[in-house]
Amino acid sequence: MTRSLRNIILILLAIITAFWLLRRTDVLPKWKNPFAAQPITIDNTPLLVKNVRSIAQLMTIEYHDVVVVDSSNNRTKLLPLPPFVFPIKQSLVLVVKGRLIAGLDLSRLDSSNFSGNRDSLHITMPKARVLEVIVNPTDVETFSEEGAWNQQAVTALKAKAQYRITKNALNQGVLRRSDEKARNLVAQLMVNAGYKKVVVTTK
Amino acid sequence: MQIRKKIYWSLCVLLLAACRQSPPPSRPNPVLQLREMGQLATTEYELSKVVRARDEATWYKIGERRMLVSCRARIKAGIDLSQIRDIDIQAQGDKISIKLPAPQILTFSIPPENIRVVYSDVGLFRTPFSQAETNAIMQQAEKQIRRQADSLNMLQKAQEGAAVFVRNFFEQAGYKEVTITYRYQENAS
Repeated sequence: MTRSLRNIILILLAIITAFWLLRRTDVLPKWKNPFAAQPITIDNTPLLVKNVRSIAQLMTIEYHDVVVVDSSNNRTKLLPLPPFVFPIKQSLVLVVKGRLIAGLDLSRLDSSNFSGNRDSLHITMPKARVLEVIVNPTDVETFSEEGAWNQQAVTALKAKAQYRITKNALNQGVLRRSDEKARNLVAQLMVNAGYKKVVVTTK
Repeated sequence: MQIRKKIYWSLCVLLLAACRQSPPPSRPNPVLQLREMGQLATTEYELSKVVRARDEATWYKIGERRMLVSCRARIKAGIDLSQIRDIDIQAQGDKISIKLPAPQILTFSIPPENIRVVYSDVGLFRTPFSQAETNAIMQQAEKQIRRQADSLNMLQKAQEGAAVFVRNFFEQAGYKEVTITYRYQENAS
């Protein structure tokens, strides 16, 4: 009796193990987790064109950076029962992948910026500046979140990330390199256009 | 006794079969931190969208959550000047002919200050939307905007803008007659 019981247990164990192994090896289909939360539905709403404008931006440097920004504070809350004072920790840590574009705004370029004769040309262009620091929602990862955060606080934190990316980029001499690249690019273009001597300056 | 032996052997075989090589973890593509380029942005579109999010499908959660987020995106389009080769420029006296590369979308941006939660409705038994959830909603919205923006004819506008800028540029440099064509148009004809 004991022996047959032991055999039954062993057979059951073998079946369970086999089942588990087959599940692990993806031979058997996985059961859907009945308690998995359904994704949030985003309706397909129309896109509105607010403005279309002509620009003339020569983008010469693209700088990528990843920064971690955090905001935290420890507040105390009064409770109706002892110990009456309850500390609340609020913290938000974001990992932000940003992209900075530096270049020249050529929209105000006119004939006064060009001088020279048939063979030589002198062009004066505006100095390079940061044209845009791009931080899109897909570039932001919420690493840690405790407590409730309103939209203004989150926007301020992302602005802090943008500021840090700009600072890092400037420390790497992005504007100088952007200036240099723009001068070389325009000079090469004009040499290809037939000018023998081309001088491009920025100020 | 024999049954037990068989069971042990089957277990051993199953354990061996379970050993498999796990696929290597996917690594994100490395990105060059600083890249030189030569793109001329000639058109900027400002787009607006109201994102409508609903969380009501999970069966065991009582009550629903809804949110309306207003956002504005900026898209810049233009041409890549660094793709212009010397054979694309033909100058003769006061006349010049330039073949420009095809226009393209250069940047897409949803500035954080242009994202605003305008309405949020949370059921009594539900927790408010977390920051991570709001960002996930915005990520979906970003993908929607990128898809919808394709139908806006932005490249045509960018092409016209590039032609105007390049023509003015060479006229200011002293050329009397500037002819602009696009490389892809030539290939198509």
